[in-house]
Amino acid sequence: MCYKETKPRYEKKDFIAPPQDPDVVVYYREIGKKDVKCFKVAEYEDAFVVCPKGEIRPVEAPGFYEVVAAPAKVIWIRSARFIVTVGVPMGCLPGGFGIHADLALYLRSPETIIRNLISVGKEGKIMVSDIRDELRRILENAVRNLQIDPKTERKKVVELIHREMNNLIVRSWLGGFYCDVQSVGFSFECDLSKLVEELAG
Amino acid sequence: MDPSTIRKIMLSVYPLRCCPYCGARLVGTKNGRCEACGSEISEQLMRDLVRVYIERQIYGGRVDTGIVKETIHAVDLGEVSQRVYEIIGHIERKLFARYRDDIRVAREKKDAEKLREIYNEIRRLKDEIFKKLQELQYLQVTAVMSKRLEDLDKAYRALEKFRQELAQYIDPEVLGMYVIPEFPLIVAERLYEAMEYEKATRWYGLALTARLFPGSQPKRDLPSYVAAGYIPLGAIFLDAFDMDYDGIDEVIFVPSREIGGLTIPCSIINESGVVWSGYEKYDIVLPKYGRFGGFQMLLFAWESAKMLDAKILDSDGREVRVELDGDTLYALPLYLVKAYPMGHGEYEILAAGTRGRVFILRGAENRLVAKSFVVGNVVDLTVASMDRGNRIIVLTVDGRLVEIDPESYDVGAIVRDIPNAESATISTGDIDGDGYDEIFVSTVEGVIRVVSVNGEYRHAKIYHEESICSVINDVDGDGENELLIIGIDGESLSIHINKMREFIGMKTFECVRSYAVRFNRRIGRARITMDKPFYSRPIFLSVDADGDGSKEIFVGLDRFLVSLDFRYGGD
Repeated sequence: MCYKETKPRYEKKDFIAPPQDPDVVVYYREIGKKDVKCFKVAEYEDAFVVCPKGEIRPVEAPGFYEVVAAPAKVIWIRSARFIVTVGVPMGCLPGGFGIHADLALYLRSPETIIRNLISVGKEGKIMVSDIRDELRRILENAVRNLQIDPKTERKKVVELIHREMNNLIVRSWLGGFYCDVQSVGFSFECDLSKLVEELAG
Repeated sequence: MDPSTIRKIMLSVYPLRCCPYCGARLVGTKNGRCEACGSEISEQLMRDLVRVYIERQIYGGRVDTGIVKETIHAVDLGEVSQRVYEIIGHIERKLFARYRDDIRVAREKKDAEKLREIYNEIRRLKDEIFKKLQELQYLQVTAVMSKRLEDLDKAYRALEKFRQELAQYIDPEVLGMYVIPEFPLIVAERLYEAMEYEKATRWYGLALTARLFPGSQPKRDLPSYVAAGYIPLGAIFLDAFDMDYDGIDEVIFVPSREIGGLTIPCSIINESGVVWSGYEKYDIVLPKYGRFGGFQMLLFAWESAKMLDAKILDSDGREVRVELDGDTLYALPLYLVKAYPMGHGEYEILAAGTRGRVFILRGAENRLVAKSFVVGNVVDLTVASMDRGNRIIVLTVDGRLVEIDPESYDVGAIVRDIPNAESATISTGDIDGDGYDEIFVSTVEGVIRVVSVNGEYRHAKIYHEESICSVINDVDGDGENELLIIGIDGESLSIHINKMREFIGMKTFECVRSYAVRFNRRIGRARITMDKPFYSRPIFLSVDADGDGSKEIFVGLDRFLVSLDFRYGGD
């Protein structure tokens, strides 16, 4: 094991943690021999340590840890941000309707994500907007490929989109994730679109 | 209903909307775009939607919403949507933390069905929290506007129920964003009148938190107004530190002991006045965070407010040994404790004790090493960065301003005969931009500015009215410090913002704007007395307590604590 649990630090310069920015969902940092050795894992983060020999170790519990064999690489993943809603606005799709899907992304293969990340340099991050943009593109392609008809039974629509999105996701840079489509809705179901028409009138 | 209340209502209504372009429940928008589909949603459209939503679906019928129409245009919508985005992120993190272990187990077992179940539950709870917050706010608005006891009772019970059931998923400062400050203030006043001081302090804390959150970011202009909150208890300690790593300092308030039976050792007033359970066995506690040799935090604990002997504990609750002149001590007679970084990465404790003694406590591996001096009974002490290095600045009850060299321990007088020093405060900061601090002494007769010129101190009175404290802050966000002088007069506090300007080749102060804050009772300055050192004392704290980039000021008066929060632009 190249890291061990340690006592809490209160001075920010005494430990390494991902930026506070809520947009950062994945953060990677190499801890070299001259760096501060202590890192913090918050209760809403998953963390993995890549030890000097290359083995990947998940950090079991939140807390403060100290790297005992440098250089080690630490990856923080804020999985809480992977429960997302993505949509495709009307106008982008044939048929005059917009669509949205409530999704949850599961980390299927942390290794894939970690290997991709740690090749970029000493520090790296993935923003939630990058993930959303990619998921939006995948949803749009899925709806186009399936030629979804909003009149189709909702359960069937969910199932079809779920399957197609997972087919498409493995061919994208989100390949390390599994995508669970939980529900689907359409633009015309929003009450506010009626209010918009009213306001316009 | 003022713009800040409308802003709070918008925070709760905002996530309940849906996007007219993709139909997604708009649980967040960023930069005026739907978070789900990225469609641009114009400000005007959203303002109209929120107004219609408030009027027709939420408040219509029972509450006068004409005022909504009038004030909604003053609210910065971009800021509201940014806040909602942050709040959603915050709640998601809390929910995830709650289910973290379940998710880990399901992931290890590759149990997709279980994972789906957990994630659905998280989504359901998130929706429920927003719905409940909105309901809660509706009850508060109704109670504040009607002032009927039944409505107050209903809102009180709903808020207590929410705290019991869902507060684990939402931090006090986030809850504070949804609380209409007038409501907890009404509750707190009634509890105070009923002599339920502990409960009252919690509700005053909630009112203060609700007043602070959501914050207001400086917009490169002077503040448009000052929002004030209060707790009718004096302060003996005020301190701040980000103890929960959320990027916002917690404000630690130790109430004064004029009221018999008050048993609050210390409370976090920008987190709804919570009292940490681990501290309840002491009468008074004051945590200090930072690097003190081998210690990451120190806790000063007084077992009885009647005695000055303070134990010092480490983060594991073990007593810390203090070495003083060859003796080993486990308690020191202290009534004033501060911590400062002394320029070498380590913090040191500066403390005042009985018989005019000042202590400097330095951390070692497993103990504290103390040095003490007799300078006279201390009213206030601080640290200033001078051209000759750091200096400890001490104000004594008999009106002497003294400096101590923390390396050589040389003591020297700076100013003598400061009038009514027992109620004065000192502050330090660089306002003339020379890279070194000046000292400001706020007294009954005005503010004295002390500068060091070529190693020699010079002083002059720069303000001639009664002043409680002076604060050096960049209040307008232009990168230069301003001097804020807080004055007092009967039932009100005045805040004067002074900038340093060029005048016939010299630098001089010019008051650029003044504000007044009126309270519904007489307020007076606190005075320190050596026979009752834990009664109200002159004290203040300037800290960004709501994470908006602008510092709030907390001022301890006689049995009264005030928070002053600067509000900018349309906030």
